[in-house]
Amino acid sequence: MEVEVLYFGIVREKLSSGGETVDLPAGATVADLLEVLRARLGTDNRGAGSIRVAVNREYVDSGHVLRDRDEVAVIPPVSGG
Amino acid sequence: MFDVVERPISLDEACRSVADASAGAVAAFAGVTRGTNHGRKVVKLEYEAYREMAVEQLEAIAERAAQRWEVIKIAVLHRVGEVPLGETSVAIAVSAVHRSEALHACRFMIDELKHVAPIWKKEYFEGGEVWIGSLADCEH
Repeated sequence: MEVEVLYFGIVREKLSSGGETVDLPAGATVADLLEVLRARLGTDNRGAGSIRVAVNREYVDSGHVLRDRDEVAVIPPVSGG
Repeated sequence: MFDVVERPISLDEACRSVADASAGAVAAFAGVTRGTNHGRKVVKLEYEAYREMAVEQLEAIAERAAQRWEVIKIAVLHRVGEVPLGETSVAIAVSAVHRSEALHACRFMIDELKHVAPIWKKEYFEGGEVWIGSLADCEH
């Protein structure tokens, strides 16, 4: 299946990308996607655990099962205001 | 009114949009870009948002506020893009019959916004730049 992944803030900058289509096996979870992402962000990144994920614009936990064509936003610590 | 916009915003604009004949109070909050942070001289600030979700989150926060306090209307405007120093980055206004509800709900709106709204601030200071609250940045 394919999901549309969106990157913001420091993650967007580190990956030099605002988003991409990611191919995942059926039944993949948010945790699976984050594992792929952590490798690309660098394992020495102590803050990687603070990344949150929203699926179709709702925050979800790491066990959330992704579905084909989901819009998945990778959300580093927010700092609005 | 809940919006994330790439243009100057003002408290006046937020307050006007919560005007109501039954209101006895309007409480307002403005977040303003500050020239120093942790002893650093800030040159400029840039904000980025996941706009569609940010607007939905602001609406959801307002619903939670309305469940806790008897408010009439709530408005939140957040500016994105480059925000020059001393300008308003967020404007919040709450109208209510009485002051206590308006003040409490206004405080709640800005506190919750800072926790859940998908909006990010990048600070450019003399000698560097940093995404606030982010990954390598351990400051709060």
